[in-house]
Amino acid sequence: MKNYLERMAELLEVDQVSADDVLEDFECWDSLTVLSIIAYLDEAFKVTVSAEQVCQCRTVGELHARYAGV
Amino acid sequence: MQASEATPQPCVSLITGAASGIGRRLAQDLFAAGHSLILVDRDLNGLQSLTEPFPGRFTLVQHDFAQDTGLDEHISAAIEEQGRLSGLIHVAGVSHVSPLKALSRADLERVMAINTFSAFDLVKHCSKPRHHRPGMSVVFVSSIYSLVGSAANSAYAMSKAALNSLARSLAIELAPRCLRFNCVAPGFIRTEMLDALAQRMGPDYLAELERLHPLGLGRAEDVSNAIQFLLSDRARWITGSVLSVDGGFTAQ
Repeated sequence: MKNYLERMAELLEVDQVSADDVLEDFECWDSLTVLSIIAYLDEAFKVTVSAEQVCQCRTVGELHARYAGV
Repeated sequence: MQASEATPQPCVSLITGAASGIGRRLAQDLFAAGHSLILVDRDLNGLQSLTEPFPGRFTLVQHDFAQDTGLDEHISAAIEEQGRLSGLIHVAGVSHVSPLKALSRADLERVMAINTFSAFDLVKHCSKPRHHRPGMSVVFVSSIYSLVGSAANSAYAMSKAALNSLARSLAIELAPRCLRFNCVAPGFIRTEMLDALAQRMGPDYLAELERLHPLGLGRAEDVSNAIQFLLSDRARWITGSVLSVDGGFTAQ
């Protein structure tokens, strides 16, 4: 989870994030950020996720639980 | 006229990425035109299903441009079997949709290895006189994104723009040996690769792509037709060009 949060902070362009942070509240939350997350999940967790599936997740933690949690 | 003069030798062409999409359609069209083919792809099953109707007129080379070595030896052996090349068409390639902040150096190097360095290796080997006939035509499948920008496509765009420059440089360098180098720059066409991308991007993606092409999305045969023209004697005076085959995408 620690690595995930660090990487998500990079993609969301902030210094740090927590599991409870709401994704759409981030200033840089846009289609390119969603694409970045799709690419990250594919590379790090070998899961293929659509843009729609990413946007259905409300928080950073929910995204992890659905697609990156073991 | 001697019988041997009246009987033309079949053209031999090498196609990479021949198992699917544009490469597969081109292979089918060139088989129909009487070519013998050397077909390169990582998908051996795909190549075998393509070539079943044409016994003896092909040599298959299974090769993954991302990781395999030894292609030169396999190509030399295939040329020994089928004959020297009249055409060399590099279709193999991967897309890579990733914004800059998610794009790693490793990602970029992988895309360049498959899409671009492979083309360099192929022409370096096949341009040796013992591997080709006089007047060999080389075609690289480039992309509209080698000509115009697109968000989240920098790695792919770099790899395809480099093909354009490679073709132009070699067109000048090897013109004294009557070798021709050209690119086709396709727009979006319906292939398995596009369908896989559309699945990730959402339900409106294909509709939006369709809207961006004045003549609608293309088909593999559209690109094959353009490549066949560039391979032919009708394109004898065309070299160093990038032919847009994109339904008007880059005309806007």
